[in-house]
Amino acid sequence: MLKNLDGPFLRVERLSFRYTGSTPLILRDFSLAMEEGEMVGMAGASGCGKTTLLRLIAGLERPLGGTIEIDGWTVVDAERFVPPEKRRVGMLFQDYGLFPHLTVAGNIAFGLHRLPRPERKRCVAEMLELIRMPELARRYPYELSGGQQQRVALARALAPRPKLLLLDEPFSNLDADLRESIRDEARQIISSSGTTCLLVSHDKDDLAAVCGRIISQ
Amino acid sequence: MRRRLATILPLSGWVALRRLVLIGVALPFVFLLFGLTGEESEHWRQVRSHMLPTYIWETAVTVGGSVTLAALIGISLAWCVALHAFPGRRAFEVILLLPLAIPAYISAYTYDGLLGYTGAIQAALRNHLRIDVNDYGFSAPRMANAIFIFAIAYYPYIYIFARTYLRNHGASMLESAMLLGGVRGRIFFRVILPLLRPSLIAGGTLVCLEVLNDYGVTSYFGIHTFTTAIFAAWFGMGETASAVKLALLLLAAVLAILLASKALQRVGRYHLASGKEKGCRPRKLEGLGAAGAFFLCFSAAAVCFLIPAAQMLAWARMVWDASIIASLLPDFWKTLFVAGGASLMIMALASASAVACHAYPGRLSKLAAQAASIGYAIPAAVLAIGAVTLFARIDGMIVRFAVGFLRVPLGMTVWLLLYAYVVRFFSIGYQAVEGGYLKIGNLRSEVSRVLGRGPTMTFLLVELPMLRNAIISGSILVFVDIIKELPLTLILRPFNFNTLGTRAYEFANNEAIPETSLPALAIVAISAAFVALMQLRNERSETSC
Repeated sequence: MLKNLDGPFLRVERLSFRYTGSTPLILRDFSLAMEEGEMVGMAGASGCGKTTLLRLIAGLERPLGGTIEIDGWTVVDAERFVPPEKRRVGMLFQDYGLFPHLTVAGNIAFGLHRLPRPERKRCVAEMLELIRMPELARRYPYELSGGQQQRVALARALAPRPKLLLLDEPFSNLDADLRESIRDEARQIISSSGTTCLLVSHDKDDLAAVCGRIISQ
Repeated sequence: MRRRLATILPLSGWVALRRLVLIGVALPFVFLLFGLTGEESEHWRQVRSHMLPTYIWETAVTVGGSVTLAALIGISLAWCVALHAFPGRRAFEVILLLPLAIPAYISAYTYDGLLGYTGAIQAALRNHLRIDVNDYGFSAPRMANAIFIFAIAYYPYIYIFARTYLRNHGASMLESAMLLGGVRGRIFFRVILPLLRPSLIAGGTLVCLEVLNDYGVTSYFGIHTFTTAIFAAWFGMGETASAVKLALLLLAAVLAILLASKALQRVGRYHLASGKEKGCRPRKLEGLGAAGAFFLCFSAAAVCFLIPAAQMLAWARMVWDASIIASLLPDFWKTLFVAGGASLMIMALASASAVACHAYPGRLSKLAAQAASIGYAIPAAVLAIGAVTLFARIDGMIVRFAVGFLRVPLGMTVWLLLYAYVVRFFSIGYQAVEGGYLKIGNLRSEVSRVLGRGPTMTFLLVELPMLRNAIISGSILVFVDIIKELPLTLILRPFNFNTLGTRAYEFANNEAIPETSLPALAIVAISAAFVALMQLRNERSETSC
């Protein structure tokens, strides 16, 4: 593994992408750089490729061309493609995607399979503490409110201590009055964990409330 | 926009397994071609010049007549049940599907027994009214018999497609047509019937394939279809070369039907402008209208299910005794055993193929899935001959190369039968799993991948628990289909090996029609029990989610 320690923490260079078929390019020569610990927000109308960018960084799509480096490690270029499960990237999806057949604790522990059992337990407990839901550990996702589901999804994404956290319209499914408090909470949770994070949203308020730097595409 | 999991390495265990499945499904058809020999046998010359026109004519008439009659029954019942409210409608919706639980050959035996000289109807006419039907020289032509039996056995395929479509879209269409000033009768022909065309084609294709696949009904009524001709050449005369040629012709006919069906579906497909249409309230019928609808549905239910079922029960009471039950019991267990074993294998292979398709998508994997799904369309007689040829080759190799206990021939063992079941019914299992995948979507699999789990663990920990219901439903469908299967089992069963289906066939062949009721009722009872189980599971899973 070649490490380039001097560069930025996340480096995206000249990234191009289109979905299969002859659809138009969704991304064309897109570049972006982020420093470690930064919380960057990205604005833009829906359909302009924000979600696609996150999916490319996570490894859920293969780019047409371009390079992505995370922490000095090239995860995609012309020859290389690191699969999503090896990238150590966390992602909070717009629709959360909680596993319906697992409890809250089970959901959070899902990505911790590399830890020994006692450590895994401690980590889940810490996460439950962080999202202030320790008493709901044995609930199933359908027994939770929308805001609670969102916090569980966030805890699940943070638990394996990803190098980089990607958030895809994380607040768009929440009611307006709930939104503000959860937004603040999420910012506290993420910044206390010290994770580098990239958030995309079409809502400028969301970005302003959470992110230190905002770029628009 | 279609989202998909990105591909990783070009080859993994899953992909390799999927390729193996594809090869396994395709092999019998490849080996069918090996059965072609260069020179023309005397038998084939005879068949070609004297019999082939008959085979073509009788196959075409039987298939055409069955599809037409099944369409008439299926569409009128769907129209009645989906768009109108009348007493008993809810019950009829389900009852009208029940004929699917009775294999067509069983209906044939039952109706022939019921209407025959010693049957209940002629006996009653003779004994009470002193009318002898034979005095009037009455007898139905053989092909009409078969067409009637096929229509009452397979109309549900058309009924179910048409009913679903009409229930979702019909009432609103009807309302707008009436608001525009149409007359009800004309609306049916001008609006509803053209819209039903896709359902008609889909259901009609299935009926065609079932009739071409059939051996029980056509052989019982003495009709010269391709399938009965293949049986005759293979079993009756040991003319394998002729059987292979007939099989290839039948295969070509089936492929032509599939292509025509695809083409017809594409031409003039109507797209509904809005996808949000929900079924409107059905029109309430009163008085004469309600009575008419009730009568139509009731008589259909009676002819297609209740009368055969009642006749079978009556016969079963008549012939019931300990020795015949004791002789049937081993076959009962064997049937459950082979059907259970084959469904387990099919569901395992289908799940593996579906995983490969989803974790490693690509144009080739889609094509492979479609190709593997064609097995069900291929008539059993064709598949059987291909499988026998394949296993004969394998046995030849085993004898030549293997040593010791490995030198056991596989041909004409239960393994051959299981293999053929897997090839034939793989697509049913695969479609069930694929349907489950469509329902659960990609999101949770992607979450699992991002959380550091590879495709295998993602399948085991995330997809499998969510696909559980789809897999169970699929295995029930496969299981019930295998229990009812006749032609494949007849050709490929090992010596002295019987399933309930072949026992019913043997009873009927020995003119012991009342005795067919015992294995037949067992088949119907097992099918009905499993279908009811599936219905219950589906309802429960819907309420719990």
